[in-house]
Amino acid sequence: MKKIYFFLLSIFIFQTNFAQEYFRLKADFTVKIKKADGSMNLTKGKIYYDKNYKDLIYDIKFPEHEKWIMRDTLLIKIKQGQKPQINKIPSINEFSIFHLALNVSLTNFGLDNTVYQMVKVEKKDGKIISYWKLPNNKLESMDQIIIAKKDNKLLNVIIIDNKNRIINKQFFKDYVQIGAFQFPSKVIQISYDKDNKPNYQVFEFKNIEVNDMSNDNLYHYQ
Amino acid sequence: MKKPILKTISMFMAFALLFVQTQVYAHAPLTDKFNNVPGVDDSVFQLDEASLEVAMADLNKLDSYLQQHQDATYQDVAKNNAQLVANVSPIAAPAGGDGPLGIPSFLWGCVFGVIGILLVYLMTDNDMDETKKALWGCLTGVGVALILNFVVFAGAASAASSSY
Repeated sequence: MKKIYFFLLSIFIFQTNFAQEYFRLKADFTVKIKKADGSMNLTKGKIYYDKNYKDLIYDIKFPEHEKWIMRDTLLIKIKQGQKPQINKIPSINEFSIFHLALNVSLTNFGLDNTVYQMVKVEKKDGKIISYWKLPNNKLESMDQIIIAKKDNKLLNVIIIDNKNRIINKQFFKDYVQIGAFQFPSKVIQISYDKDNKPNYQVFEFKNIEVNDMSNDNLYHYQ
Repeated sequence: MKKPILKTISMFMAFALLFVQTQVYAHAPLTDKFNNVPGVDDSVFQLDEASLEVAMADLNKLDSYLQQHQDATYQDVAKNNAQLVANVSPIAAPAGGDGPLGIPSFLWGCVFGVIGILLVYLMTDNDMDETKKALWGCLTGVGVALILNFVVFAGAASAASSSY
């Protein structure tokens, strides 16, 4: 009896540990912003994230060389020849696209771990569309969030206010597959101002690598 | 030997039952409370690529230039090709546009999960009251979940130990 018990326990532990775990991500990023008023912004560099260290590190090369480290409730900005600038922020790294993707939680936009609750699900043109609301329904500006996914990949996020006006749209495109890990190499956000004019933000990721063990210090600011 | 095995199995079953019940409750659609949720038109899921291309034309030109001149900074481009950075901000925004709560621009781009806090601030024209409500709502949700999990597991452990 004892042998059977320990045999079953060993099988359980073996199966648990054998699953591939993705814990680290790096990529070249480009962020392009075009606002309705005509102003623009372009930022380029490399991003590093390790879900165990939880340091989100932006190594920026354009517009100028600097490093941003987001750790827990701190944003540390480092520019050459200057004292590091430290700002207090909410602890949000666990809700970043990087953390969600490494934890296979991106498909529902991370809403499973928020106070939003799913109120409706439907299938359309091969897409699964879910509708999410806040239980107390008090947030006028974000009354409803609609998520569309296909083949277990997040495709769209649509945010609607209580007047049924679309205030934000997000498109997740060009997924890159590395083993069992998948990540959108292009994310497009369109938000609409009061006059319904669009503000565009485009995020592009290239040379995506996971579980890079060659440079541990790139993923952990010390 | 029989006792520890039975104890382990009963604890496992208690955890599994309570976990499944919690998950079913947490993820069941709130159909009773939100009847008649209207669907959306398929067009909302379509991206107007042509409009996006027009909007991004200047930035795409700048990006192409930077791909050819990998080490160029904003100052370098402003000196050598000023028209490429006309109307382009010299401030970095690796995670998107203007941020709320006095936090520098990072929250938009790669922070998706805590949208209840972030977008409220952005979309309500910097309404602090609404933002704080969203923040407390999120924190309350997390707090309640933590308490529930503690109660569930403590109850299961207690039930298992009192049986034998």
